[in-house]
Amino acid sequence: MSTITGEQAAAGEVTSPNRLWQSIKKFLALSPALVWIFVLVLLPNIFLILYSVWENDLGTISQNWTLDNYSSLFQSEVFKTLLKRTLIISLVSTTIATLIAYPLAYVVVTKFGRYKTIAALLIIIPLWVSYLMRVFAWKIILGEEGVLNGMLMSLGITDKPSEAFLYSTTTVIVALTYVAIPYIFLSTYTALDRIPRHYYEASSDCGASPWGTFRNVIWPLSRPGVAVGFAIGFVLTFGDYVTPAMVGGLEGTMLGSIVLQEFGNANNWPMGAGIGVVIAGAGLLVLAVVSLFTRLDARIE
Amino acid sequence: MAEEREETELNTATTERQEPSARAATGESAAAVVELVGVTKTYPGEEESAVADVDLRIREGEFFSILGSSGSGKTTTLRMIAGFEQPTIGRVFLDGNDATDVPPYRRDVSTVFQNYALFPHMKVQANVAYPLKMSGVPRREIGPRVKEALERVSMAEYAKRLPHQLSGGQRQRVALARALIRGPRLLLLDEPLGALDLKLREEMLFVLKRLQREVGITFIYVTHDQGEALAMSDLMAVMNKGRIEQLATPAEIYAKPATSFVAGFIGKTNLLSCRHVEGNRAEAGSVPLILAEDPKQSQFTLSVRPESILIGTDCHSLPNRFVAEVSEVLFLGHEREVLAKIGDQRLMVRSQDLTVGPGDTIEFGWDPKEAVIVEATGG
Amino acid sequence: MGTSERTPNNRMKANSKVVKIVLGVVVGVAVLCVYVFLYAPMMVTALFSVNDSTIQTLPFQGFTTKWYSALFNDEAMKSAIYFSLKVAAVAVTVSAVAGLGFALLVHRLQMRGTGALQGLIAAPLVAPGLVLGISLLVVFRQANVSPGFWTIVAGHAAFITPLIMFILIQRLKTADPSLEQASMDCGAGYIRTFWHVTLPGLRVALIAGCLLGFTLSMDEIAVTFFLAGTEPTLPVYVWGLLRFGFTPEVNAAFTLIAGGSLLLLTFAGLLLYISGRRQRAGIPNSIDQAEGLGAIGVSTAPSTTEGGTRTV
Ligand SMILES: Nc1ncnc2c1ncn2[C@@H]1O[C@H](COP(=O)(O)OP(=O)(O)O)[C@@H](O)[C@H]1O
Ligand SMILES: [Mg+2]
Repeated sequence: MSTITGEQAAAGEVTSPNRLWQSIKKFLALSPALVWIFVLVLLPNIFLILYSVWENDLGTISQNWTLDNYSSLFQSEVFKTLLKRTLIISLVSTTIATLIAYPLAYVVVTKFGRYKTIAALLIIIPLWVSYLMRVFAWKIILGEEGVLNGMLMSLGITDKPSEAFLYSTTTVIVALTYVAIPYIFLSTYTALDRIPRHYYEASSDCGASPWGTFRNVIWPLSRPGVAVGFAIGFVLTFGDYVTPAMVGGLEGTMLGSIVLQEFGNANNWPMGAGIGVVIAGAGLLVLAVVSLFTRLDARIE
Repeated sequence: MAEEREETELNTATTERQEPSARAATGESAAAVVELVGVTKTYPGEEESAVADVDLRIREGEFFSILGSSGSGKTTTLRMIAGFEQPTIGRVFLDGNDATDVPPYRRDVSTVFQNYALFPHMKVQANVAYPLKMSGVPRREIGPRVKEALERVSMAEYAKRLPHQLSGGQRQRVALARALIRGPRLLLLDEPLGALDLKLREEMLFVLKRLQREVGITFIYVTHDQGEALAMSDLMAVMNKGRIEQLATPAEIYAKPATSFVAGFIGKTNLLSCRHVEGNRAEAGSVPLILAEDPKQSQFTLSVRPESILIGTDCHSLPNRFVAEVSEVLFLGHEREVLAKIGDQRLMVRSQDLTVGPGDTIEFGWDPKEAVIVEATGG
Repeated sequence: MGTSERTPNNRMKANSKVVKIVLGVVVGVAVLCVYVFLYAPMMVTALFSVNDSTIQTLPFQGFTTKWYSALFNDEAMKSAIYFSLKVAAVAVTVSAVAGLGFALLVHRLQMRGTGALQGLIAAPLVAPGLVLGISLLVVFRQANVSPGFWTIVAGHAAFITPLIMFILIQRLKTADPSLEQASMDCGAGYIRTFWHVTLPGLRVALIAGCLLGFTLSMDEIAVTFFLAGTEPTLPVYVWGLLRFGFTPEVNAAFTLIAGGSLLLLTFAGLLLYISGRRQRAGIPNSIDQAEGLGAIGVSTAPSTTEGGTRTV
């Protein structure tokens, strides 16, 4: 009844031409994907690295190999300050976001019953609203004549508008924390949601209090998800230039901001590419560290 | 006896239970370890109750089974005893104290989960040590007790493995060791052998029975397999649609099923709907029957087990005797199952005679005392 | 482990109840605060888009729709919106084709290395927008492609394709392979099976993925900023407005775009939810098509009797 497909035929007679044909077919099927990866993933990254080791000559790029871009970067005080500040801003906001998102995910998974999917969706939805809008709104909220100041003044807590909220490192941290929460929530929620109910019950059955269950069972099983979330949050915030541009002012400038300058007015692409490589490298480093420290041998059934 | 005593002495867990067992020994009527009083559970958003108006009393040291088909409310009942679910109506008593609102971790009850629920990130020994760690047992005591518990289920050599490196049967044993290590008053087992193949299943049945004898604690064993329930229990409850149909010893349930559901569920049986004629005589359709005593109802269902039906010359002295035509024969290995037709009724009988075939006539009958009235179907 | 000591007496019970309630309230309020935090920016933007003042501050100066009418009279803004829509439509179309192809490829070629393949295709989705933007920019410069419509489309397709791919792979994983096998058994070739059985099964997920991709494309700034030429997409145009002289008109634009995004998102979510439910209920979307081919590979399972058999 059944027609013999190519695969079955190949399985039937294991002759070498057939095998060769089989491999060729596989390769042909794969080739669009390989081209895609080559053009949109490999080539850009290769050229990014190449640019960072090419010489810049007043805006024209000569393809001479040099490490000058990197050495001048790491000798520049401005770069070092910015690198340090970017690291701090990024780590602090990712940490705060994790400290908010993980407990939130825990509460949603364990306490929201059949409403948990809705509750989770409501946290993810802001990701689909314009990034620019979400960040810019913080300017309206935190600005000198913003909503927060207006509220504080009408409540009589302060009598004149405070400038403390806008154009500072703190503003950037608030906005980036805000941006990172949904991502970290998504990752930790998935991890927690994969832990079946019967592990909670078995632990409780063994005499563990809710806290004991969390510490000994739930935390170890969800830690990889937290780590991945943290890494995503870090990568996201470390390379951001939109947020500092919107709410950061001078004090909130980050590495991404100078990449923008180098590719724009400064017209020094190799330098910009070098900073881009540093940003990508930092992200990869955090990912590597995280995946190293959170390998879980366990398999959740 | 002496040997057994010594063995239990070694088990530190048993020392904690000495007070109640001493009470049992002094001849006081054995205390109820678990008592469910008028318990009904309706899951939120459901119309039907998963468990309806269940009363149960389970005594110290009993091997108690709950038998029922899937969806009959066995797991729900067990979960209410463990404390994972709250009854909608009714109370749960543990050791005579109202425990309805006590959270699971404060109940002296252990559960062996159907899917074992071994913590995947902990080695076998850590899993077994977990209950001790949680109840604050000093570190140096934990090691030896874990070792002993693992030895009891012959799993000592696997102490350093992770659960996913074990086979189903091995995980089962670890789950048992973990459940037993604190020496709970009560062990709940939810279809513990459900995921095992036939051979392992039989082996584990022996392990379970031996363990229960050794540690002497109360087991509540949930299963849909009547063979397991009959073989293991001191007392069993048959559940159907959230209600307990019958609660009795296995022998009684087998011999005197209280309802036609029980009769049909336990073993194979012939259920005949009968009409009372007069005195001890009745009719199933057009077939006249003799009963052991006068029935109290005019319409009822009679259960006759195939194995209590005698064939050929054996049945000559019996009051219920029929000649029937064989309509179907099923070969079962050691015997044959014969479907015989008398009048408008069909009965299943067992025959060792290997020559019977469809179309043959056979003679059979049964002692009225072997037939049980299981249900009144009309006033 | 005395059981008597474990039974809470009434006072303890009452105490623990109070603690429970207080804890519940505290947790509830904290959770609520996070939700408020997450939605505050959107609400503030929407509110100020109808506030009758050029200064963004409390108290409100009264209701107005003038920012919306200003928006509809702003030719530059309108052409930016139009350009964004064009970019999104083309980028999503490209991504749908590529994402579908890659998803089927990954799903079919059960061989080693598909994990790496997926990872590489997904890289632009997880890379920081800045890195993706500048790395594509240098390639385009090297290839002498000047920034404009097609460079933006390429940048967007680079991260929308993996999104659609993952949604489709997820759906393929839960789909019933016996349907396809049944179709092949009935003599339908690969292509016809794909057209009549596989594709209808993926249709809903594909549409949902496209909607999600569309909203992403409409809102994207980090990558687009580097790849845009002289003609700006809406976010790039707004970026300029925000940096050099702000009008509340932007709030109106944001509110409209966010509303549109949420609408598409809700629609996509509903589609995914419904198709997921149908699949779980064992009624694959493609069942009617499969039947049309005479490929009813799934016979109803024989009803199993539980426990002992009843005779008579
Ligand atoms: N968490 C739940 N929510 C809603 N209904 C449930 C839940 N658990 C069980 N049920 C329903 O309650 C009934 C009894 O289930 P259960 O106690 O699991 O039966 P058993 O263990 O005998 O198979 C079933 O009809 C089942 O569908
Ligand atoms: Mg069950």
